[in-house]
Amino acid sequence: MAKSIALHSVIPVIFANQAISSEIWNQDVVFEKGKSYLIEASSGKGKSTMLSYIYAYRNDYSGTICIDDTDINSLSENDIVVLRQRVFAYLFQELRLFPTLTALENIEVKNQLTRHKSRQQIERLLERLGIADKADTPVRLLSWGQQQRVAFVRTLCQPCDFVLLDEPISHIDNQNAQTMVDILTEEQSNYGFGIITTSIGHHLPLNYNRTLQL
Amino acid sequence: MKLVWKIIRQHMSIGQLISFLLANLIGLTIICLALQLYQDIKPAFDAQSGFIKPDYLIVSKPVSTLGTIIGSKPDFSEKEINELQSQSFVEQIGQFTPALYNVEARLDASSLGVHFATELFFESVPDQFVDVNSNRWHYEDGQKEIPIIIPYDYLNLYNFGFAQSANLPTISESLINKVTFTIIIEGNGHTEQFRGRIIGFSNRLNTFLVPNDFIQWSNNKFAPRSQHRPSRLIVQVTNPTDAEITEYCEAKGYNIDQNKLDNSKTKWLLEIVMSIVLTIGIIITLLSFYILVLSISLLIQKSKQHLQDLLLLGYSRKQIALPYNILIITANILSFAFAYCLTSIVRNIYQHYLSSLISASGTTATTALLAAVISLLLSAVNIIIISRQIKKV
Repeated sequence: MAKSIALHSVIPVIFANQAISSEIWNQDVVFEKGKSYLIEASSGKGKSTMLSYIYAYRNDYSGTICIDDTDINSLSENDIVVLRQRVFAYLFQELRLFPTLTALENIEVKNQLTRHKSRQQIERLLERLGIADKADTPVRLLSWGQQQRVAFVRTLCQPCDFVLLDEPISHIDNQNAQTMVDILTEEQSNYGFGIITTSIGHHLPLNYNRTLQL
Repeated sequence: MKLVWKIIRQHMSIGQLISFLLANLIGLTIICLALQLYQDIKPAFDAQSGFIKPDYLIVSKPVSTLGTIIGSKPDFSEKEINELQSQSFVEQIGQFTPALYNVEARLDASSLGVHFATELFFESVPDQFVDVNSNRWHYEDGQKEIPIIIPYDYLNLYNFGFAQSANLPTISESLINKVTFTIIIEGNGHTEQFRGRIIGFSNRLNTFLVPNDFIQWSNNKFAPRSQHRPSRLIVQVTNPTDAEITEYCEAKGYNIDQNKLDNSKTKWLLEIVMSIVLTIGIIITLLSFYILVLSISLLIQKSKQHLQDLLLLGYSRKQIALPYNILIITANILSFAFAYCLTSIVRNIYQHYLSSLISASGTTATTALLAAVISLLLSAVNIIIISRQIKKV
């Protein structure tokens, strides 16, 4: 169980010698469980990079990132597996769906690992997001916006302390964005997780506890 | 797991897998067949030699009429033995040690209706030249039972000659193993009675062979002052086909049994041919193993992006490696099963043609076990290689 994520003077190696004005890079920032955060920045400022540091799949930075009191760089391979199954749910900007699998199968790839949601719950989510009829369609045949919704449902198919959403509605209309917010809010009140979402401008219309400029 | 399999399956090359299966099948089948054939044919050669290993030769001197008249014995001097020992084709030499006292054997098996008594002689060779389990072939001072190996010819002589003419029952090999003889030894003023048990037969030794320890002990007790020089030598050679052996023995006027030498040569050649065939089989199997490693490495490379995605979704490397491991094990089990079936089929065919040479009683269990071990070993090495590659993803 993680209660907080703390970034202490974290800065990507590539920015090390640049003068940067940011509320996150080179600062001390704490993200708390149960709260919602919006990270705003223009393109190329390192939004996805920051999330990949927290998710422990990149470590090309200086400074430290701690989950509660544990430096994520000290985690073993098994700890990272647990981290990705139980602590962080991540909606990747590039989605990372498997093109040959159907929408439902893409969701099941995660859900079979965690057994977090029933088939009915998944189907209900797909229905609310307007893609129930695409459940058995290979995702390569879906539009990017539809794929984003499939990836969103997959993200929710695991227990977690924080949901990391990397530009989750870049190709989604306002109505579906609102549905995603409704679902996220319900899930947050059920499970009490924290939300960190990034945006390049068109952001998820959620009630944020804090907005940070990267 | 089904979904993970579905993700990686799209990059799989059925052609490469079939190539592996075929190559591995051919390699394993050659190995199995070579081993099976060797196993089946080997007893045909061993049966001739009985309890004496095939690369041993018995060397003796001819008995001449002049020698008989002047009373000289065809025995070997120390110098002659040392000279033979120094030849390049000789690995080790053992001397036949005769019993230097009187031996009488009596068989009184009333249930079989057999009663006879005969004078005998005993000889021994060093125990390492006798191919019998050491539990059955040993003697301790004072032991009353003596294990004996007798020539096959004696049994045949009794069954087909003596028993027929004296109207006595014939005796099988297994039955004679159960019968004990009374052995009476006399010498040096002592007479002692022992039980003799025939534990086997030999075609290569025309003598009544007893353990070396018994001869040493009994000669000390019953003929302490008698001296002897060996008249026959048992020689272990490095290569029975070596022409030098025949040349040397001819030059020295020594006798070696040519038939037995030929038998050893045939067996030696058989072993060489089998070794070559086995080597070819092993090379093909290793090549097929290499095809599988390459094929799966390629599969991993092609699926690298998907494997990284699975890792990011929270799959462990072990979970990702599992489908590859199942694929490897299935492929190896399949080729093992096919190779075993093919071997059995071919064996049935050659057994039909070689029925006069091959005993049908042999099993394919050893071959199956060995093929299974090879398949297991290859699977294990393959799994280790795959797991290393997955770690690099």
